Amino acid sequence: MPRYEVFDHTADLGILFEGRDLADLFESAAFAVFDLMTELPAVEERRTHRFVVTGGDREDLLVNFLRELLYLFNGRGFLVRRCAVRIDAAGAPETSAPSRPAPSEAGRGAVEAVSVGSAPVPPQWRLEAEAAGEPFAPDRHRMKMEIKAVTYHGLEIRETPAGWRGRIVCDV
Amino acid sequence: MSITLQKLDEHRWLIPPSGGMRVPGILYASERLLKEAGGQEGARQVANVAHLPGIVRHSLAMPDMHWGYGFPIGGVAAFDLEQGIVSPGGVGYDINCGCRLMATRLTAEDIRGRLADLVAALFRDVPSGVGSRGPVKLSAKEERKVLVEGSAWAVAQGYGAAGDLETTEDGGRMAGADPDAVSDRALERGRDQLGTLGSGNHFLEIEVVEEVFDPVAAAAFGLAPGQLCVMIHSGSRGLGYQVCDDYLARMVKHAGELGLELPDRQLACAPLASGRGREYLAAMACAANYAWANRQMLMHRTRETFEKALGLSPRELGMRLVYDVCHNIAKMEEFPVEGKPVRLCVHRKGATRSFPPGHPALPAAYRPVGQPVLIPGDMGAGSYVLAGTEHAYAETFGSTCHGAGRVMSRTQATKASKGRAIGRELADRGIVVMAAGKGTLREEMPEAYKDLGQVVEVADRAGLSKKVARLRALGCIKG
Repeated sequence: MPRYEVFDHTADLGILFEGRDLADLFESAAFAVFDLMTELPAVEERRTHRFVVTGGDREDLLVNFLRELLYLFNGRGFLVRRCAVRIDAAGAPETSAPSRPAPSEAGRGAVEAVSVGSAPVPPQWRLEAEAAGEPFAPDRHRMKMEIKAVTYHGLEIRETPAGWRGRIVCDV
Repeated sequence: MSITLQKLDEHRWLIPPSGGMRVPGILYASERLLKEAGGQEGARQVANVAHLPGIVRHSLAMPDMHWGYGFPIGGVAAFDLEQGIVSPGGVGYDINCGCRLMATRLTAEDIRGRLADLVAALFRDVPSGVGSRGPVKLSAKEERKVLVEGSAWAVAQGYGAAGDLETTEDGGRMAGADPDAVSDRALERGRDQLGTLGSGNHFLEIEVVEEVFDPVAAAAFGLAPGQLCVMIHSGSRGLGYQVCDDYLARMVKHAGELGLELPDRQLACAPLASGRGREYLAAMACAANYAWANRQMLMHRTRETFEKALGLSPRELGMRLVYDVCHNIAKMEEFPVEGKPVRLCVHRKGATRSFPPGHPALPAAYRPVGQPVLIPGDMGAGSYVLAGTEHAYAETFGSTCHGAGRVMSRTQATKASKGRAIGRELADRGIVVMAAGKGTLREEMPEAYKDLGQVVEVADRAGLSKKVARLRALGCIKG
């Protein structure tokens, strides 16, 4: 099973997650979101939804991906048990994406201004996803919490010796 | 280098401008509240907001400040209409999340022995929790009317009386709402959620006026000791979240065009004078109106439930709206700046408007004493009613605190409450609580929040709003 843990953020919900590669990292994040919202073992893979999202960089791509997944539940009443993704850095080699210190790290030091303006404007990252699950049925599915949205605050994706790690803060 | 706070006086702390800060930050807090405000994170967010273009005078934090995302919770910032920006993250996902206080002709004595039944009836009749649906499914045409007319739409449908509009901030209708600025996704999410409470910290609470600090203001608001009241805390539901998210995504995407250096992407914004900025404001107004219609419908359902459960006529119950305030909003308001009245766009993210006596925006009955400020506490802590002040109008763009503010995260609260029966503990204190969500009671346990009394005391002593009355909780339903 994909790996994640929640971390303390006073008002909201922080999630740390890991993956072997970038796609696996995104799959972990998807799992975390639905595992936190509902009792996932009760959700069956009856149907799949396919979608494509783009982003200006890896972090933006992650937020847009999770937005789309949250919309599947919040807008369409669809609970996701498992999500498979494929990521293309179309025209942009991975290393060209600007790396940015997370505000959490800045949080321990100075007020660092990180340029948003220098991020590439055209979406260069593209993701294809296949989300498997079933429609929310109140009699069978127990909701544990509502996740309103994924924020950009403290957003972080980085490569580690063991693979990839990500960090998001959700509004709950 | 970390953020240094300079103590200005007993309740004010200054963050001097440094780096890209355009104005200083000012935090309203006691030493104790400052300690509970989440370390450096909240103060850093106040400093971050000070980076935004066109910010006027100060980046402010109210006494219930805590670590949010982008803006701190309890953050207030005003922007010049020509040079300034509007930031969806500075309003929040739950656009026009707010509070509504209703008073009745009953006393706590009148429902003695029937409280549990009443709470159960409210829990049954008022839709709450994740995925709950409201009493109406709006047609596309009808939904557009809700978005433009707000509370007035609800009243026209029979949910309440015309007088309710007078005692709602802005008459329960924000001007400039354009449904064409709202995405199909947001419209879809709004179609069946009108009249629902929501989840998390949203609630409906039966309260009793326990203590009156200012008898003149209390009398003007129609509040007296022993009186039974109801406080509702809810917002614009999925429609508002979607509006925020849609515009945040767009503003992040186009951030490069502004050539701004922002310390947090969540602060993404658009100039007030730009097409994108105006479009967000038009969509935000729609969500604000949706929230007002929502609270108006929740109030109506509450009134019906009280009448049915207690076997009372509308006249006997006499439930009327004391006031309705929003605490997640951006609004065009006029304030004195360097001696001249100037129209500004005030962002209140977890902050309540606090308009002074005599302000034309107030209903005639409240004008002599100032605007009612409704401050809900955590589950079981009851609420406070305060009145707006001249000082807030002059110093904080007419703003004060909005609640107790969390001191423990939800995970900390869940851990800390392990092995405890929170519902039972509250019951032992005479408070009946019912919640839809499995973990809600643990996450929302009383210790997870700051002491409401402390927050209100600081708001009062710092002159941001004056204490009028304290209400004690009797029964509560949560999502």
